[in-house]
Amino acid sequence: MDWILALVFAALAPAPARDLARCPLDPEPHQAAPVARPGTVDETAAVAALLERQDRLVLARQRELAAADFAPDFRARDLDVESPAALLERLDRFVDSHRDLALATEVVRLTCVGDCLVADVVRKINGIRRADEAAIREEVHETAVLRRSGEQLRIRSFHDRAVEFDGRLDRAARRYEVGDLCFGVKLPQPFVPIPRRAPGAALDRLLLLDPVNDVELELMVFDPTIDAPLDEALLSDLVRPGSTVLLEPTRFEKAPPAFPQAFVAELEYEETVAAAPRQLRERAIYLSPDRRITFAAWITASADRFDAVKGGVDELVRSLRLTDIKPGRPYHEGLIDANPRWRTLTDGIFRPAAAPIDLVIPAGLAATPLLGDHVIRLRLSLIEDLRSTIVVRVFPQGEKRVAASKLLESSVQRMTEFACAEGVGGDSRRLSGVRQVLGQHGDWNGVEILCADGTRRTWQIVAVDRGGAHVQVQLMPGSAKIELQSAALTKVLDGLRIREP
Amino acid sequence: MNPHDPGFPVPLDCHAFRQQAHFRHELAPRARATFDEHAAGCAACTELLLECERLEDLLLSWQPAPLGDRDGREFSAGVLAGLHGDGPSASCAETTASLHHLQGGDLEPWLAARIERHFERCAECREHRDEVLHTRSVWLAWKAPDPSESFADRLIRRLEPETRHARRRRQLIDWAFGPVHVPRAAAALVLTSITLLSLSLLQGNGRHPAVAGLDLPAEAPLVGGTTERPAIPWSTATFTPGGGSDPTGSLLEPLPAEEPGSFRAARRGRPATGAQRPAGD
Repeated sequence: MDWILALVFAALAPAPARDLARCPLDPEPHQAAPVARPGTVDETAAVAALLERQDRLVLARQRELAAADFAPDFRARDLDVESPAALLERLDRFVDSHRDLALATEVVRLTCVGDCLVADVVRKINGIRRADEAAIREEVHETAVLRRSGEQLRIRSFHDRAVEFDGRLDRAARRYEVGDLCFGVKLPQPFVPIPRRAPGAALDRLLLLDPVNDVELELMVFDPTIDAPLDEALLSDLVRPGSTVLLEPTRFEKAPPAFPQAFVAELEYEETVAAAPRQLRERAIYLSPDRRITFAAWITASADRFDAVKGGVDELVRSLRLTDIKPGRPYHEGLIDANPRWRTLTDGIFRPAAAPIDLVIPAGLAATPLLGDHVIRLRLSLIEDLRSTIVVRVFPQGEKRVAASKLLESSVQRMTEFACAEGVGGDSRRLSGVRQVLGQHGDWNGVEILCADGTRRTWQIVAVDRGGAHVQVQLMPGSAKIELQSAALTKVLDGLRIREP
Repeated sequence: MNPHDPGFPVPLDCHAFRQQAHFRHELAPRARATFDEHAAGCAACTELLLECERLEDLLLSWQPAPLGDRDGREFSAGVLAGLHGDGPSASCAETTASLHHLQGGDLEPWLAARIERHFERCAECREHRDEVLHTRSVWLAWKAPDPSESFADRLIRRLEPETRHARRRRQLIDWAFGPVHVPRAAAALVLTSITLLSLSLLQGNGRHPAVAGLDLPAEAPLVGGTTERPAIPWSTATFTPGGGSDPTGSLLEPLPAEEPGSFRAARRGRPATGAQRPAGD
């Protein structure tokens, strides 16, 4: 009987409270993620002291002492250097080649994120160059990223900073507004913005750093040279040897208003820094308001932190807003309205203001002037062979150029897989010579590929220097209509002329 | 017979009359005479004609309504100002309803502008917006915590039968035969199987290693609903998104060259002294 009673009591006993008092799936009390905040006076003074010590040690050529202020994982991609020793060695050589050298670094602004500090600095250099006894006076603006290591600060990286674009940043409101490009974005936390000069003909570039997670987020705006579908452009830009696509270009569903076209893709690849390989992942979003001008945003992080931080690029893209574009007007036309120097095609004549070169657009070619500075581009499509394109590139005086032969090799290398109809290239041969352009001999280079089906493709580029400018005319074939393409190239070369002042 | 002779006028029927009523002033004299003749003999069409004339009188006498108080601006100036964003603003109700969409960036620009203008004059809505912003920032700043070491144990225990009846039965068995441990290895095996199954499903849904894909022919079979792309061209040059695959390299070229011998050039490893290198090489 007792046994039965015990059994009944045991059955009626309440459930132990230890497991049900708190759901094990409830999150633990969490710490808020760090946010970017202005540095305090003390923090600024500490950074200034460190940089001043660096200047002293560099001038005194005390490389070992100077190296102690750098973090073991120091790397500066902009300086193409992966160790403090290599950087300090370069500085030693600079000090050796000057006398009466003065080096002063001033902290302009300090932003703190967690245990990291991001300092906008200006370096002032004065001295006399020994080689020609010329006085030098230089100011270099850059951003230094430092990390607290116990009581000490260590330099982790340096980044170029385009100080002339600082005015585009509203740090208090965390906004980046580019008036002449008619757009603005909100800066996601905890990223610290660094305005950059856009490379080549690109329109704009912004770098955002999350120093705590070692994450880089970038935004770039450009007018693509080749008219390709946005998803294909995204994949072509993203993929690299040995990489793995984690997410094929897919429609980005949360595109901001006025951006009808947006794609997202993810990629994983290995990067070797200072002989140590690490897995990186990239999430890139390409979007366009007018199926032409491309906004590219991408975030790069180590594979283990990627999932936690990749939402930053989505947040940045979703905050994109076009400004001062009249309803119904294509974005690129709005940009031309805001930047009249990009109106390079009028009355059938390509006439860039930055170079004394004109091109009368020949019949049978559809011309599209492309937006951008530094490299002025014109895209010509062959109406009878729409897959083939001729690109005219004008480098105004003072702009850095890329040798035409090098460019041709690069183009062929990038496009050789598309050269033939069956998707594979064949045997190729190099051609070179001269052609009459603008009243003088221009360098002509070509690469001919023999496809498996017996057809040929011939890339050609002609380059000439005239009027202080460098002009390149490049034919990129998309079919086997070689005679038609060569005739079009000849017509373009014949249409070039020097503009009288 | 003269082909240009219009001949005798054909009498109009009511349908043709109605068709011509609105452009009767443009009719040729003979046609107009026929038109008037029909109007004189048909009461319904006469009434229709009178109605048309009254309507035209009303239209001719219409004047644009006074523009009201426009701060002394011309109408065209008002339109221009509107185009530049100085337009009507949203109501409090509209603002409240749209606030989350505004913060999420999902609003059309002109709707967003209406609401932004409303904020300029409504402190209450501004306060509400600040609250939403704060909530959003807290939410975005939240970081998933790492599970504690005992999490898996608790999760497995949680997966045990939870109904009171089941617990009682378990307690009864425990009491009668001593504690019977949940086969954790079996539960872990089940969890692992589910995870692997999920991963394989995800991989099939458009996620696949692209290195293999790069070597696939253009007409590769469908994989998880997406078509494999043809081979992608690449070069050993710098790889970066943002126009990195531009075949003319126009978006990758370095910035204007720094002056040789400068501090900036020296830090990049360029020769600190010496003759300038020719551009383009």
